[in-house]
Amino acid sequence: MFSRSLVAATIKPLMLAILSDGEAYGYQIIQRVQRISRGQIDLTTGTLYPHLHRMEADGLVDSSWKEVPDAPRRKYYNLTAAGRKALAAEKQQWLDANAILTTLWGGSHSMEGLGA
Amino acid sequence: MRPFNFEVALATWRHVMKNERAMTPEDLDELEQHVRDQMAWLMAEGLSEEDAFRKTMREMGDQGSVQAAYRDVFWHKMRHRQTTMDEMRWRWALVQHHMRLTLRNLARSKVYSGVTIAGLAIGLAAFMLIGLYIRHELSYDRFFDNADLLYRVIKQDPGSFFMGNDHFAYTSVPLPDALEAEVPGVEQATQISQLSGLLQVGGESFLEDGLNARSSFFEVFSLELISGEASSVLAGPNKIVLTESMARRLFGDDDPTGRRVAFSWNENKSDLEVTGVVVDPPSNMHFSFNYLVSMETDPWWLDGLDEWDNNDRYTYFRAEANADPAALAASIEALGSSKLSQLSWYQENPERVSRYMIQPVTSIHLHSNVNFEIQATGSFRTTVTLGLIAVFILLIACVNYMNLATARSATRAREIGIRQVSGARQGQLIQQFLGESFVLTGIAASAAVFLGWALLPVFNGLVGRDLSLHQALEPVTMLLLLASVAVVALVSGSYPAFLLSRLQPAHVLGGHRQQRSRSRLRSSLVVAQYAIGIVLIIGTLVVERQVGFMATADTGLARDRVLSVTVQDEALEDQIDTILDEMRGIPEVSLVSASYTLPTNIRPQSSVIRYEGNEDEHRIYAYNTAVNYDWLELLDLEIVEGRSYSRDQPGDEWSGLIVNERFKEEAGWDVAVGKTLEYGGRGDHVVGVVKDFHFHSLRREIEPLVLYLAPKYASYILIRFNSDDVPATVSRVNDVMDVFSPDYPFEYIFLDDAYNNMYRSEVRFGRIFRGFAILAILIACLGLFALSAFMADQRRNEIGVRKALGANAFDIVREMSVDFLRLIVIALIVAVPVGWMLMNQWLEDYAYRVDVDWRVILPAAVLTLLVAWSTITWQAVKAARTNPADVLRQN
Repeated sequence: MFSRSLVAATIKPLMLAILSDGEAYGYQIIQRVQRISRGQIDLTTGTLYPHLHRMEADGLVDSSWKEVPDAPRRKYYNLTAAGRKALAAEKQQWLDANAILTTLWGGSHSMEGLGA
Repeated sequence: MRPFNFEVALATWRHVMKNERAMTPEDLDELEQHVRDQMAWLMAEGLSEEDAFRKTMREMGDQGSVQAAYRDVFWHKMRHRQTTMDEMRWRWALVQHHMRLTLRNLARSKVYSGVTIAGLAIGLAAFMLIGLYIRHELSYDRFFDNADLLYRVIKQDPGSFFMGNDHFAYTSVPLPDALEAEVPGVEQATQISQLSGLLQVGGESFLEDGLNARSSFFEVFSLELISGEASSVLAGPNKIVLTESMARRLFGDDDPTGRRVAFSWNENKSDLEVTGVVVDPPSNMHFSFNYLVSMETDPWWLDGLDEWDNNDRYTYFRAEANADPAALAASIEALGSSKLSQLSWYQENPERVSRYMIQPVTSIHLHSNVNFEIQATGSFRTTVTLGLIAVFILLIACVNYMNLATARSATRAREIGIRQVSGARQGQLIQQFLGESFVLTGIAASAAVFLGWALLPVFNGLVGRDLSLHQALEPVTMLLLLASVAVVALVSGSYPAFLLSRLQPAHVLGGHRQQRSRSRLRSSLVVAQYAIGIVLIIGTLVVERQVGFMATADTGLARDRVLSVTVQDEALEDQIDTILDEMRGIPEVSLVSASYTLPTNIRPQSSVIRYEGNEDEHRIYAYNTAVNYDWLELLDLEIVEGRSYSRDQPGDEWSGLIVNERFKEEAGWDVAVGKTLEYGGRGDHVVGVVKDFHFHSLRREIEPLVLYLAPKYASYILIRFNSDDVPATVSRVNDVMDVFSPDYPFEYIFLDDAYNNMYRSEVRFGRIFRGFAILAILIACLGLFALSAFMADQRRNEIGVRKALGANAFDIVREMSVDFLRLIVIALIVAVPVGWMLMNQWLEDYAYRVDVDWRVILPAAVLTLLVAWSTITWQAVKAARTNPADVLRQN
């Protein structure tokens, strides 16, 4: 299980990455995160949505409502162009961090290979 | 137990979540859909509906942190959606709602709101007025351009004490030129001296005070000239610059520039040319004048141009912008000693060379303590005392608010409980109660402005200043005022807000009453209020007793029924005998004499070193005055050795001296009569010793005194009269003066008034103290009144039951009063030592003083107890007279 702070740090790149595969609604995102992380990343529902809302306010995602029979509407999230850029930046950062840690811990990557 | 119903559970959950303003209906839709999705999945896994719901809720996280997460992004979202304005509108509606609630609450309990608002209004008005005064006191001389660069040179004459102080404001004529020429860092120096003379224009005469001023005056003091050039208006002899109002009095609306004014002062007469008009100097300047006469007009100035030891002028300078004050002070002290040590007298007495010192002009009004100040200065101590009183009075008013608001928590608990149950968070409740205190304080502040405006003339009389409200309208003052109002609202509102918002709804609605600790806090606040009030009362009583003691004290001379007429025209000196004879002809007059100073305030002083029997060069600092025949008899002064002056002894004039007992003692003489002493060229032998009498205020010990007989030196004619028709006597005296001195106004004072005037500052201090002590007690009593009303109200049921069971009204009144009176007694125990200590400290300034003893403490205690007791009893009696049937029927 990931620590709370690590979950908090990964939540943004996670959601950006999931949404880069196409639009999704909150419940789907949680399902996918759990499946991919094999339960290591446990998102609290109550805090996932505010995160999505903040990304929406920042212009990284946009949203649209779709009608569902016999229930309230469902809100779908989509990655915007700015969101794609943010995802690329996040990806680079995490790779860099990974490279640094791997080097320190005796992995195969060398520092010269970094494109910071 | 009811079976689980998913739709009901979901609706309840939504309802609870909805209370969070940051969660919009859209957010809730989204969350609800999520719950439904999750439920469907869990139930497909085989969970029951109820278990699935519980698990979903668990994964949702606890309500508090979910709401907190939404709140965090709320403003972020608002900005994004550009709906901030909507949100503001909503908040405003909430404020309006709270305002309505507040006003409704205020209207519902009129005693409570009346007392709180009245107390705060009185407190704020006092605070405003005192604030205005303090602001004025602090503003002295700061309006000058480069005010921070202006200094005055003063000097210390080591060991030469006058009125207990060896610092003097006077300096000598050549100083300013030497400052400019020899002291680096001095940019421009100037000098002024006091002047009183008769101005005559076209047959009209005005006796007015002005100044002699060096031509550089306007270059140091940036007063605005309406006409004339700053650098030249006072250059050369026989120039006069008038203030705007003086110009109007002399010339009406005509342009005075170039006109002539006939001017008589001392023994001199000059024909002056008006070279300029200056705006009236503001009241917050440490000196004042109606006109300025160029220094070169004064023949004594010309004579004094190289006299370093003739000190009768005030010297100022403007320093260069980057000059170091410490370096300036050092160079000026060095300048003084280099000039003075060349003089033969100082060469003989090098330890007595004057020390020149500098003081910033802006500090003169409140911090200068020197002899011969150009104009009475303010008192830093009075200013600070008043400031403290203002804060204390405001605190008393704030305590009223806190006490009444918390006392009322019992009555308001229900309202609060309902609001809590229906979803108000603690923060919202705090907001509501703080809002209430802001509304209340706001109302009180508006009332205070009117109150302050109405009371300003009275207050001006109290403090002896001419303050006006438009000084309060300056932006900085307004801001300060608003800030203090906000502080008052916060101080008085925060405790009740915090306390009331923390009430437990279950307790409240379950009918529990408030805890004991809260009433203990209330009690200590009441004790604090009364302790402050009692200290003020003790202060008032001590100051008034001291003033009364000084006013009625037997100072050794008979000062009733003595009229003193000021001789303005020095040219009358040769006619004094004739004038006195004319006065003697008035039937109501029994004795007439004259002297150089008023007998109640003999100020000239010299040191006596050559007296018989002085072997070790002892120096006696003795005050002196010239007197006329009958002076001692008129004042009923007793001769204890030798004789008084007599017309049969022609040798008395100039050479016969009368000393007081104190002088004789200091000279070490067994017998004084016949002893020789040299006294500033006059006199050589003692003819009598007068019994010690007070010729200064009772602040000072009796000091050595020498009287000499010089009938010509008559500045004050003293007239003892025996008629009860005082106005008629005065008018006859006036007739005589008009014959001899037609141009000068008739100026007179009764000797006992002149004596009492020396205590004017004490009388003023006493009145200020009394005024604010009354206010403090009044506000505290308002609070006590309302507090006892609430207590009585709360205990109505109990009292009703007890009365029904046979208790009599007297017991109930006693019991209710005792609770409160116990607090007042505690306040007394706290306040008496404090008051005793503070007032003993104040009394230390007086050589002759009253004691702070039971005669002060007892009245203060009785007064406070009586006032408090009657306040409480009123309510207690009302409660005790309740008809038990009424109360019991209501339940």
